[in-house]
Amino acid sequence: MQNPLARVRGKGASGGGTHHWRSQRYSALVLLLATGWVLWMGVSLAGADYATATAAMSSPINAGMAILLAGAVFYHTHLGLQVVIEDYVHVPALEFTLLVFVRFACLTAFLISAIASLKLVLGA
Amino acid sequence: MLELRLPAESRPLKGQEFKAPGTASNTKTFHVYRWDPDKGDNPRIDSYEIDLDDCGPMVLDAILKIKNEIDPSLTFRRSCREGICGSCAMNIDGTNTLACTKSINDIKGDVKVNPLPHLQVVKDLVPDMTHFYAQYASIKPWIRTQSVALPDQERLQSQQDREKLDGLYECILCACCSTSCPSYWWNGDRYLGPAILLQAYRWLVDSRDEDTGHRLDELDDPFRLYRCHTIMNCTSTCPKGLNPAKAIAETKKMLLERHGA
Repeated sequence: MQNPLARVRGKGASGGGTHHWRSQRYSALVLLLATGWVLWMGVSLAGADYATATAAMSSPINAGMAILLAGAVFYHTHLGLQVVIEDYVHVPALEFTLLVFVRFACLTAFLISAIASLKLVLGA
Repeated sequence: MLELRLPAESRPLKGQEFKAPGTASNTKTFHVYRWDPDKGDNPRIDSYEIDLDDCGPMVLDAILKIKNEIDPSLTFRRSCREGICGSCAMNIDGTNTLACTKSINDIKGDVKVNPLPHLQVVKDLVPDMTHFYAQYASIKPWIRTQSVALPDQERLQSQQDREKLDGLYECILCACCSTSCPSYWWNGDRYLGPAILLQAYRWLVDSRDEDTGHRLDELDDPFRLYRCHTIMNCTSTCPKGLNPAKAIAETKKMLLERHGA
């Protein structure tokens, strides 16, 4: 028996839509550029041994690109999966759990990738 | 969770078949969705063979012929029969459109007629539009001003500014676009859908309106506006040839401009 207009207006606009949408586009753009770097690294290191590869990846520029790529990959993954979950999972408790899980899983994956790159640069 | 099948009690069963008179040589079969809330049965698909030599050219003509000559219990909305009222919006041959402007000759094989998808059915081809109209009301689709209008003059608009409303004002709110949108199917409770967002944009670009900022505030929401994933079914299906997807994209651009990079 809820008033139809009250149902539509609900809790109001959250105000966060543009930020999320813009972040999706920006992270996609970074991914596009970083993919070019990945391809270039793959070609230039084709057939190289382990020592050459780790030496290349320990340069600050390459390590920076690797961290940027990892950030873009897992941030974009988080944003995209968030939309998929919001679209299709309509059991509130499950939706909330999945959203929190994806957020921290992506953050953890980024931290592991970034630390691995830093380890190469710092020679630890 | 997402449901890919209708509940058991909502799945249409095979219904009755009505043959054309034996003298008819140019016939076409219409499979029409039927559901009567008073009977509590599953929906059924009735089949009507229509003599096209004794029927008008549009799908609405055939539906009227069914109601007038074969089955008076068939329930549907219609009014203007010329594509301006939006009443006879339904799913014909798998596409949402207006029965009055859809030519029977454009359809190959049998004609499948269903109510607009993913709305509650009131009866047969009549969907419940309550939520859709409430969504329209929620955007306050009228001019909102702070300045006081002069008593002896209209609020003037240049020809260039008036042209910005072309492609927007023609919307007849038939809901073909909104009910063709998968995002609206899954999240229509919170997503406003293409028809309402096109109407919202119509007021965003009206040079006489003075409440653009507040209108944008009301749309800046992950569900109300940003559930649009640019699927473009809305633009493909619009029986008036409008482009709701572009209106939505322009609204996103306006929000981005306001938000800053």
